[in-house]
Amino acid sequence: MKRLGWIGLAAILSGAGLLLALALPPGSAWRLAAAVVFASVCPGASLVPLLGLRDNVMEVVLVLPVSFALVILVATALFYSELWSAERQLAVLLAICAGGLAARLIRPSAGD
Amino acid sequence: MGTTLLTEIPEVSEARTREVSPARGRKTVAVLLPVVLLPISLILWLSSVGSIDMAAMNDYGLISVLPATIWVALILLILSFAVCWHRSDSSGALLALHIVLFIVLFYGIPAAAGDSPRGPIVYRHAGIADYLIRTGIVNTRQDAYFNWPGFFMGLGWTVKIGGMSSALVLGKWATVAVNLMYLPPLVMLLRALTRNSRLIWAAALLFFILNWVNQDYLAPQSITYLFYLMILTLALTYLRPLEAMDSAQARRALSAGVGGSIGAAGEERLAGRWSRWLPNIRPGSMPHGVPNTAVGGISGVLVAMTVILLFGAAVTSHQLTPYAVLSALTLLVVTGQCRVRGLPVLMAVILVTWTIFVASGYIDGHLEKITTGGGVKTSTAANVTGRLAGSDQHLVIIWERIMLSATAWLMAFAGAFYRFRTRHRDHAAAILAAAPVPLFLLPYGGEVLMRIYFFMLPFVAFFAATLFVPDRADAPTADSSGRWALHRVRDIILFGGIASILMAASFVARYGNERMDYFRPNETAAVKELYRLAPRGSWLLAGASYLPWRYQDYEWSKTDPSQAGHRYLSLAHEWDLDPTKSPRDMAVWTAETLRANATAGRPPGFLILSRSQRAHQEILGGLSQTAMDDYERILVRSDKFKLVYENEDAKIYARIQDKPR
Repeated sequence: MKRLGWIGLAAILSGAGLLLALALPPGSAWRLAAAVVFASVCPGASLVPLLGLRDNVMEVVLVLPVSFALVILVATALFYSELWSAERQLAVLLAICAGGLAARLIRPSAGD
Repeated sequence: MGTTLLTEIPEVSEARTREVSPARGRKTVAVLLPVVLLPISLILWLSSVGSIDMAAMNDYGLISVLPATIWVALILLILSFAVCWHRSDSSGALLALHIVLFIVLFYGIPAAAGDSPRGPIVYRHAGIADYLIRTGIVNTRQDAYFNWPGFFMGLGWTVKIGGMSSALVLGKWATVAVNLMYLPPLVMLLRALTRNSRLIWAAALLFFILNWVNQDYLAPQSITYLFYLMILTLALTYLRPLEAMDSAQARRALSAGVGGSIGAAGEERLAGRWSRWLPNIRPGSMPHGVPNTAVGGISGVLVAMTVILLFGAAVTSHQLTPYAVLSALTLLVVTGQCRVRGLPVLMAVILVTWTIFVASGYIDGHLEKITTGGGVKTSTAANVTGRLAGSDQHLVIIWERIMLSATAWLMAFAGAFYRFRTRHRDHAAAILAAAPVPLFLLPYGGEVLMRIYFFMLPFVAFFAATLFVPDRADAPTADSSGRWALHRVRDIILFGGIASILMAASFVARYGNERMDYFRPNETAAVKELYRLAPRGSWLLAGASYLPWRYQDYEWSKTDPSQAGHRYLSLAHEWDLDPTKSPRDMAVWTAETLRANATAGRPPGFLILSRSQRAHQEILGGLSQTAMDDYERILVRSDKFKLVYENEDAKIYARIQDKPR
């Protein structure tokens, strides 16, 4: 866990939070909040530490834009390949996040 | 390289300031004042915002109904900021807290005082997201939005996986959320331009004060602007020339030219082959006092890839922002401020590829508009002269917006002049301030000037803020401590006063259209009723397309029933095509249009008239109240329409099926 750092921990928590929230009925404010937090944090937080910037502030600042960019690009790729479904997009994003975290465990960061 | 925002490296003059600490009493005041002023400001705002009578607004907008307590709250907040800001050792977190509160208090008024998202476009965006997740189809022939649908796809997914039926649930507070998102990359961008913490925070506050252009709601341009800020931050922080790095690796990377500049080691051979074809660009100078934090090797490659990732998301989501990024990055590369010379080329390739292969539906259908809609003359007509219309009060608002923008630019010019005279080497900021100007030539209609203003704003705010942070030995000595204290009070009053005046002007400019942007609960209820009454496939006509609709059943196709949500029509638009037509002519046109629809095997059409539509026409100088009243009276007397819903702010008429002869 130490190798993942607290940004990695945030990625895990936001991913786990959304997976748990999916059990809530549609229309639940908690489920929407979990989805928004996931879309804002998880993809970016799992990948940004790999850049090896050695600047915690910059890494935190990057998390949100990178997360949004990945959500948009994954959705775009799935739509244009006519494969889109909400569940499939979630699966792809979770795979990206898992890949990023695994890469962090194997090779801490580009700058290390 | 580890840095924190809270302990910035001050410039020379500030370093001197720190040599002699201010008196303990002054320190105490600076610490205690926010503790007192911030809660007072918040309490005043919270106690007043719910009592704003939005229904009583005139054409001056929100200012016409704003209680004095809200003004006091905002001014106290700025004053508290000014006191904290003037201390060279003040905490970045405290200043950030002030700006966060300013964003909530300034941008959150319509959300806190109103009942639903403001302006019709948010509803339309919710409708596009709804259509995409409902059908999974990208129909580029629906309208221009579907040629750049990335944002809507991402939004739709978030709403769907969040278990909500509509993106409207995120619309009301989106402006506050979006501006809060801008703050961190903005501060990091400013930090790449200067390490003077007072300048950074003054510029950050001015950015949010001067942002009157209303491009920060639940919309593609608001998220792509976040990408714009982040891309420029990354370029100026990590992709500057490596020259200033002392290591042998950095020198090798620099000599490697274009290809090897980001991934230094092992790429000299490749770069050597190409670099002779490229012009030799001298590395641009670093701003005064800013350390070179450029990274090479694999980190440099990954940062460049992140830039491309953000740019790619912007390309899929918005027509204009990628051009702003491309223009900025190209100028940074050409002037030696960014060493990755391949970046603009790659961006141009991505942009052209998307335009040709994905957005071709739009390009094909609008070729004439694209080829003739640009240029200085056309853009000036659409952005300046074409906008000088409307009610007398609205004309005051328009001129006020022009004067506010001109004031911001003049302050920036004066600041830039001062900084270059004092040799601060703010080349990157100046380049980026000028980079959006070529966008004026693009065929983007009447909003391009406002977008240019917004793209320039971080750098305009930066240079404007430099006027408040002069280079001078302002540190107190034993002899001059009294005079220094006077200077200090004067500086605080000067900054706080000017920032407050700009805030008031920006408030007027930003919320000047609020009478039409605000939708009363009756209006949203009427549109909900319209969707309940109107079966899918029916045509829906509004006096003007300025009402909270299109958030569902967005799609329309004449031939494909599966794509027939509703066809949305605007009376004002039709009347504009031939302004010589009388109210009677338009009533006949309405009856014919909706009847023709019925005879084509679709349900009869509906007409909705509402308060916001009238406000829109009155404010912008469209259809007159008399003409609309005549039109409605003729329509009612024609026996071809039946009033099926009515409340204080809206009416719905249904077209009656003609009896067979």
